[in-house]
Amino acid sequence: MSNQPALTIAGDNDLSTNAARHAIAAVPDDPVYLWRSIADPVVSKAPVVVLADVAERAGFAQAALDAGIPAVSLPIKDPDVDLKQAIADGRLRLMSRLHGLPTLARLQQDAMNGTVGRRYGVFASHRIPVNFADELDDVVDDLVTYCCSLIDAPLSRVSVTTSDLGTSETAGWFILARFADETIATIEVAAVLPEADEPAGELLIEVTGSDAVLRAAPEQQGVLIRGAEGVSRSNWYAEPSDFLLQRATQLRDLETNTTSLSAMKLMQKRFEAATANQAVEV
Amino acid sequence: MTKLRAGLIGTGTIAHSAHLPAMQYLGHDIELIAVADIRAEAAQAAVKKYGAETWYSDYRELLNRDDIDFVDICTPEFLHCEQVVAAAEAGKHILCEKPMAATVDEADRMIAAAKANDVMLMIGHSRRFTDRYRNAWQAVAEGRIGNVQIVRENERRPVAMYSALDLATGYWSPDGDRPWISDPEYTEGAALTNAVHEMDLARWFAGADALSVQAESRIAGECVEVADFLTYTITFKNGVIGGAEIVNNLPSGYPYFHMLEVYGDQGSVRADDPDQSPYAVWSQGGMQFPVNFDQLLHIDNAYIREIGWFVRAIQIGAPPPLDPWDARQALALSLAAVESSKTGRTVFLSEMEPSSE
Repeated sequence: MSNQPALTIAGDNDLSTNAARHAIAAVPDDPVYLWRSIADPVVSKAPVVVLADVAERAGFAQAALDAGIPAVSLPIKDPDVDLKQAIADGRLRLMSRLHGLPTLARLQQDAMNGTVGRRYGVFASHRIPVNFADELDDVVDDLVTYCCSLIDAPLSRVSVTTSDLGTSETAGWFILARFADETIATIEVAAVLPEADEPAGELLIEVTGSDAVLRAAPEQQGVLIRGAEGVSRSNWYAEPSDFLLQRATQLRDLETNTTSLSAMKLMQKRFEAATANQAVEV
Repeated sequence: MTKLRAGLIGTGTIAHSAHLPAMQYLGHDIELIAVADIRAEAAQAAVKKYGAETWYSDYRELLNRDDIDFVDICTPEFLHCEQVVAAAEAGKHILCEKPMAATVDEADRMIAAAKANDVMLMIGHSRRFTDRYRNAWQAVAEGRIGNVQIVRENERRPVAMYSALDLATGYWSPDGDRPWISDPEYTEGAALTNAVHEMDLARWFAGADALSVQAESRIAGECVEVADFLTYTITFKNGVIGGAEIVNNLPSGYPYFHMLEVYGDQGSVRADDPDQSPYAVWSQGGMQFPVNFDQLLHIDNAYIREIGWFVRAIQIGAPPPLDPWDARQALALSLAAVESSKTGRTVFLSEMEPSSE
């Protein structure tokens, strides 16, 4: 048994705690360090996976990089110059919470292994309840990061329309993104569903190509009950941390960081394109 | 009601797959007198199968007949203006396939010609005549989902969409080497072939004219020279957002289907082709949809209703069931999407007006 952790999981939330628990269960001989606070020192040179809440991700990632440790993180909002450079040179890689959904983990693998033949486009829509509108930016960044992982090509052009959808703040993002390999992504996120207890909403991902079309609707992983009192459903999404840790390992093994670089650029350029109301070349 | 005497111009794919069968079904109201097609064999095939009295290779000969009340124009869009204006001047009522024309200026000339000659002009935006979209629109119009906020439509077409239809004839090849529908000299591709449907529906459900559009397009399939992939976002003047992703040239086993979602501030309406055909065959070669095209919910009996209601409007002296101005605006939107996809600009619909060209 090694005395040094084989993996460091950063963050102090349900996701990071569950990930640490599952990682330990899966590989009992490889200790996992749960790095709960940025104030704490990094205890080993083990790879870092940042599953922290969005406000803390940049801090954890920067601390890991400062210690000379490569990191994989959930989307980072407004990365500074150092973090951008780390993404550009591959020391920091990005994944999406959506990679934790088994359906989408499988779809991502199929999209990358040539199942669709010549890829035409990616369509992704995520509708969330109106009472989760304050999470819209995070939902967009997760969807953008996931879509880029289906394409793995440099981003070349972005057009964006935003809408308040009758409210006082931005409630919808409608993104058209063109990539260097000619793949075109249509990404739509809107807080437009009736109020609900959970933010999951309706998610649809399609990848079209010459040989196949991949279509995933993860919300179909649920139990739908139509009864006298109306319709109710309970989702039974599998624990996402297993798939997130698998994705982190995949990312670390990639020779290039094209996916993360395109995701970072798309997350940034969407604001520029929305303000300009014109396509932005990348 | 008096039976109306009809002439049909352009006996290609859409005539054989939709218009001629619908006219035959409406035999109690319509008598097909003559057909015209520059391809003699195509015109003769229509006469043989659908019982027209005669055929012409020059549509002007058909228009010269005094015993024809209306013409159904099923030719490509680049011929519509010339043929509609000629038909109007010959005093015939006109039903013309979508898209209305190749340019907005042409569309305006068609409307003007119909008005000047006091004949009815209607453009066949067939989806407005399906139960599916009429029911969805009715739900929206009744306020069941509140104020509309988003209209999302996606359309998918497989490579072999028409292969199961056993058509007597297909697309015309003006230059003899390739069909007009895949020749950039004659068409803008998916924007006019499919998207003009989605543009029309989006505008109908949004309940407003469009302000601007952003679009991206590409040539996806092999041996294709016009854009067969188009995606766009429309901002309507009332704030509604419309969007569609249209992908043609998908694998043969993939079904032809259309998806419509309308989100309002109090609910939503969703209409899909069921997953995704009423009849599917699973085999070693994968899933096939032998009756997909003509059995889909988003087509149902649209052409029978479209032509039947057009004829009834003539018979009773009512306005056309679909104002040609709606088709003109859908065309403007499609052309704006083409412009946006080529330039990367957000294109405002005001730019598409002939006076601003």
